[in-house]
Parts: sequence; structure tokens; C-alpha cells
Amino acid sequence: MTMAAFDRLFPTHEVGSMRKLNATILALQRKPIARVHLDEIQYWWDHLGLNNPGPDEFIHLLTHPPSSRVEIPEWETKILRGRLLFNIRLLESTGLDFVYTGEAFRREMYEHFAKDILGIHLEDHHIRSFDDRFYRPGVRIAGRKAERRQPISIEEFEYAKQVARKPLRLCLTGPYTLYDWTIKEQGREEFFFELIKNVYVPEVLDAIRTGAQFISLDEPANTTKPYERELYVEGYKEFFQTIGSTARENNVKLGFHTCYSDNYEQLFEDLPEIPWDFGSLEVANRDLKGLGTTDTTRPAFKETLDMMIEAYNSGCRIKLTLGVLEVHADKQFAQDDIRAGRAENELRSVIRDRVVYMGEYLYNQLGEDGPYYLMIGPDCGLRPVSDFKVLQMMLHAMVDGATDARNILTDRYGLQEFKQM
Amino acid sequence: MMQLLGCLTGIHPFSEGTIQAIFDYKYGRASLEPVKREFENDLTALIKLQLQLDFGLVTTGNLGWGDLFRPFAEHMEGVRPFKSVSDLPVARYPLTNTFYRQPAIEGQIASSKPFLTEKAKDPLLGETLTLHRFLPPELKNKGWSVILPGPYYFQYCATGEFSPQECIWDFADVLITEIKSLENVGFSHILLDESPLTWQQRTHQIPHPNQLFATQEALQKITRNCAARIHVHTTNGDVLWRPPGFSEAILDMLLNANIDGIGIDFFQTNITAINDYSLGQRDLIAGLVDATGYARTLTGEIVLEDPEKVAAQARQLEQLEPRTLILAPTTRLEMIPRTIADLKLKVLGESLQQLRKEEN
Repeated sequence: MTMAAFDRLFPTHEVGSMRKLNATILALQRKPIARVHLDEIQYWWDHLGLNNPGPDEFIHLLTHPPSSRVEIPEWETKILRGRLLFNIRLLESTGLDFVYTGEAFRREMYEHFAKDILGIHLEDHHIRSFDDRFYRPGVRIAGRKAERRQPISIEEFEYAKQVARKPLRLCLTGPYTLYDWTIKEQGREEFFFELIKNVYVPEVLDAIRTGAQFISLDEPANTTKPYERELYVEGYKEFFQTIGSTARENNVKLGFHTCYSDNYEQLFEDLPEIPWDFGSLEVANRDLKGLGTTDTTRPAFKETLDMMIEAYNSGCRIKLTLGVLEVHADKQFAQDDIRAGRAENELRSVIRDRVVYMGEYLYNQLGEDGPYYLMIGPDCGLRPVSDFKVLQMMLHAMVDGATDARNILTDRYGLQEFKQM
Repeated sequence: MMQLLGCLTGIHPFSEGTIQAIFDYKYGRASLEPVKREFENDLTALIKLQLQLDFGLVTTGNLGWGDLFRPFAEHMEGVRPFKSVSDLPVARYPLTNTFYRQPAIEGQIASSKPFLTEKAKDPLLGETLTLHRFLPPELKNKGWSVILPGPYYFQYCATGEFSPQECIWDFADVLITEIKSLENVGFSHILLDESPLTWQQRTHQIPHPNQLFATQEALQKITRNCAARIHVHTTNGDVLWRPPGFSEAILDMLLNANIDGIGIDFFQTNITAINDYSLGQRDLIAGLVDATGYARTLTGEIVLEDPEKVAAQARQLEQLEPRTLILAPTTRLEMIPRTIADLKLKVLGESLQQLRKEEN
């Protein structure tokens, strides 16, 4: 089922984390939960038909922490599982081809991995990445090798596998990003190789054993330091040398995600060096917001596609998502436009045009296989979208926009809906 | 006798209290009031710390600024109007895991009426963004300092269809208007961040010589037209770097701009190599404390710079004959937690104390 979705023309997926249900956060913090947050649970459980646990049962769970300390871990796990169930069903409701846990078990992408790595001291205090977004940094412990304390994402994935009705993607915060975001003394490159060998190889092998078929490594830090370019490539070559045969034997697809980089040129130049199966990049954020399927109306996509074609001419053969949905796309619309459905229609049309433009461009440049190298997703995780109804609307618009584009291009060029590359 | 001071070189981090209050507000779990309360505590604590450490220069740490460019992106003439600030594109500060919103230029940029001291508001307290009512009155017109983007940095980070050289020139005029209004309310020290001048060596970008000449002239013009002391800070690169196609090192270019002082990151610039230079009575902001790095021991203890070693490095810089030697972190401390950032300032304070003792 996973592979069929992977072989589809313009398969759709999301990218990263989702906002967490307030009631679950407050419950886990042992804080009082206002009615409005419980109403949110009631609404979504009813709306998505969630029944295991049902709304009353889940609200009771949230509002009745156990008095015995011994029972707390199990209670917390049930809350996280409820959150995960909601995320997956919400994503499934949008029609995506691939779904994800929305990082339900993870407080934050860096922290979730750093906390289980010996050799990193996770600070109690946060730092700002921008605006009102913060993360807890880790600090390298001098004189301690990096090692995995315990499996990091496996419990979350195992439960998600039981719940998901659609092909499931597993996302891991990548080793270079962990390396780069960890505060450390200068010139500590061995730390990156320790992370790969002692943390990521065992984690990915565990994930494959657990049944993960579609694993992506989130590397937003890639390209931020051009002087570490060779380090990144060498590290991943070592990673693929170690796990490549196991991945192939199990038909596992491995990919990356990078966003908000000012140096995609470097990324594309290095792309043929690493045997990725797929990847995703943020592009819509830098594109014009209006309709159109020409070079002048889609300048950011043209620029990125040209680099992609260059990489393909150098032997690279991976499926790429060039983000078609900005994570702040909802902010372009008035509330009335969102409520009346005008925002969804407008987004759907812009996304359709972006996909049609990309598909045609690749068809013209790479032949009829070209469009099949595209996957469709947002720029990055949709965590900034605070209203789940809006998030659902945005992903729905993306899926419908991709469907419209698929229909247009299959009609125009006689393309098949599925093709194994 | 050489004067010894200390200063901040960029946006200071929020405390954990403020960050937690922001989380609660952002996700609808609490009102804005606790955020305001925590923010005001942050601000007063930072100012108090700089006074305790006797830096001589005091800033608000640009607390409340979304990023260094935000008030310009919001209020300057010639930038694209927007419904919400989130309409502005997000871009990464090169070489970091931090981001800013790009000022989107769509016409000639200008500041016919100063906004930093008037229209621009701090988003939390709703007061004038400079928040100068919190600064100590005894240092008004003597030690109030503020950090602004320099013309080269601004054009580097802005987006839109524009001529970089014209943008550099026009932004210099904007800065002159704004600096004059800052002088009027009591600021006497302006730190212009021009970090891309040096970090481009590490991002493998080559600045166009014409843009460097334009920057030099723009900085000259700003210094000539403003009464405040104009310092230009660089970070994350070697100030002795000579960009390909340019006839001189970045340091020479800045010395020839006749600015009042230069800021140098001494984690990237070799102290010994720079000793051939004379600053000609300019001030030197010496980035001797790494703003982005520290370590922990196995037992969790924080490993920071040794104040004695910092003082020893500072002593080596006396050969440059600066008018004033200003000890500083290499760049904004926003990339480490507030508690550690404050400890880094204390390292600078101790080094300063030691140097002053030796001077006496």
C-alpha cells in the first residue's frame, strides 16, 4: 500500500509537526483545563468519529489524573496516544496519500531526540528561533561520546502503525541538525559521526524492524554552514553505507527535508552524492501568491526546478517535494473568507497552478517520467496553524489542488496515475 | 588613559519566565498580562545587570524587537504594506538556527518622519519600541546605547526588486533621520551591525566591490551627520578578510569610513595578526566572549570563558591604541539561554573590573 502511494503521480503528504491539543498539554502539565479546551476535544472527537477512546472517555482521562505516582506514566501514555489518534485521523480526513503522527509524542523536534542522547545535556531553558517560536537547546558534554540512551521514535511509530489507515511516514530529526543545533565548542566534527554511528544507525534499523517503510530525516540545518558541506555529505555516505543494504532488502524509502535555506544551490549540487529516495523543500514561501502557470508567475518554482534538473542531469533520481503550501498561507485571508470557503477555493487554485507548472516543466525537460519525480506537500510542518479547522481546510485545498493538476496533466499528456520509477 | 567599557552587541534573550508566559498566551491558556509582567521584569533585570557590571554603556537589549529589521520592515516608507507581520517572508540568519522576517522593498525607502522613537511600538507593553523610559537617567546622553542594522546588512537581508547600492544609500538616509531622533531622546551610542561584511567569507559569498564602496560612503555620511558615536560591529568572520576583487581588507574599508569605532569577533580574527594595525583613536568593540558557545561537564557544570584570560586577550589589544576598549560578546546573545547569557555578561564585567584595577 505504501509503495503504491509512492508511485502515484503527485502523491500528497504533510511534512512535520502539528499544534498540540491544548487540553492534552494542560493535562500533562497538571494544570486546570478550561471548558473551551474540553469543548475542542468534544468537537473533534465527534467530527472525526473517534471512539477508542470516545470523547467522554478521553475527557474523563484528561481531567482525572491518577492519584498514585505509579500510574502516572501509563496515564500520560494514554493521553499521548489520544493525541496521536486525533492527528492521524485529522490528516486522513484531508485525503492525503501519506499520513504522519504530527509528532504527537514529541514536545519539540530537537528536544525529543536530544533528551535520549548520552553526550548531550538538555537545558531547562528555551531560546528563540524567531518571533514567538522557541526551543530547548542541548549542550555537548565535554569528554562524553554521543550514544543512544534508548529507542527514540519507535514507541510512537509502533502505536501509529496500529492506528493509521493510510501509508505512514516516520520522521526523525536528522543527525546533522542535531549536531548543528547542539551548542558546543568549535571544531567538534567527531560528534557528528558519533551521532550517525551510535544514534541514527541503530534508530533507523529499529524503525525498519518495526515496519517503517517511508522514513525521512528532517535536516533544516543543512546548508546553513557552507564550510560544513563536506562533513554533511561524508556523514550521510557513511550512514547509507551502513544501513543501505538493509533498507533495500526491506524496500524502505529514505528521504530528507530541508527548509528556509538561502543556499539550495549547494543542496542540489550535493544531491547526486547521497542515495536518497525522496526529499522535500520549502518553496511556496518564496513564490508569488497569485494564479498562473508561467515562468513569470512561478519564479521561485522555476528557479528550484532548474537546479533540480541540473541535479538530474548529474545522475540524481529521487522524488522531490517542492512545497506548494506556505505554513502561514491562512494568514493571507480574512476570517470571513475562510469561513465562507473562499480561502479554500483560492488556495486550491494556486496550488493547482503550482503543481501544473512544475509537472509541465519537468515533462518538457525530463520527458514523460519527469512529473513522476514530484511529490506534493507543504513547505514545512503546519504547527503555526493554530485552528485545526483551518489546518484541515489548508491540507484539503492542497490535496484537491493536486488532484486537479493530476487530472489536467493526465488529460493533456496521457499520463498514467501510477508509475514505478 | 584608555577608557574601558562593556556593551551588548545585539538582541538579548528573553528569560524563561517570559517564554513560558508567551507559550501560555500563544496557545490560549492565559492572558497577555503575565507576559507583560515577565517582560518588564526581564527588561529591568537586564538594565540593572549592566549597571552592576559598570559597563558604562547600557541598552534595553533590543528586547521586544521581533528581529533587528522588524521596525524598518513595518514602518519605513518604500516597504510593502501588509495585513499581518506573518505575511512577510521568513529567512534564516546565515550560519545560525535563527530566522527573521525580510523587509520587502517595493519603492524608494525613506523615513520622512522618524518612527523608532514614535510610531514603532513594543508589541508586548505597547510602548515606544526604544523603551528608553526604563534606561537610567544618569546615563542619558552619555551611555544609552542601541543596536541597529547597518546599510549593508539591511540590503543583504531585504527582499524585492531593488538596486543594492541605491538601497545602501537610501538606508543611510533613513538611519540618519532615526539616529537624530534617538539622539533627541538621549541615546549617544549607536551600534550598527554590519556582520555580513565578514561572515560572507564563511558563507562563500563574494560581496560586490561597488556595494562595499557604497557602504563605506554611507557609513561616512552617517558618522558625519550624527552627533552620537557611530560604531560598526562585525561578527562570525575575519575582519582581515579581503573579498576577491576588492582592493583592501574589510578592516581597512571600515577604518577608511571614518566611523567612531569598530567591533571585531576575536574568535574569527587572529589577535596577533591584527596588531599591525592602528585604530587611530577609534573605539574598539572587542568580541572576546563567544556569544553562541559554551560547554557542560559530565556533572552538569557550565564551562564559560575565564575572565582572566579574557582580560589577558584584551591587554594584547591595547597595542592597537583604541580610544576606548569596549569588551563585548561576539554577537547577540539570543542564541543561548538567558541565564547563560547573563553569566557571559558577568564574565565581561569581571574582566573589565580586573583591567580597570590594573589601569589604576
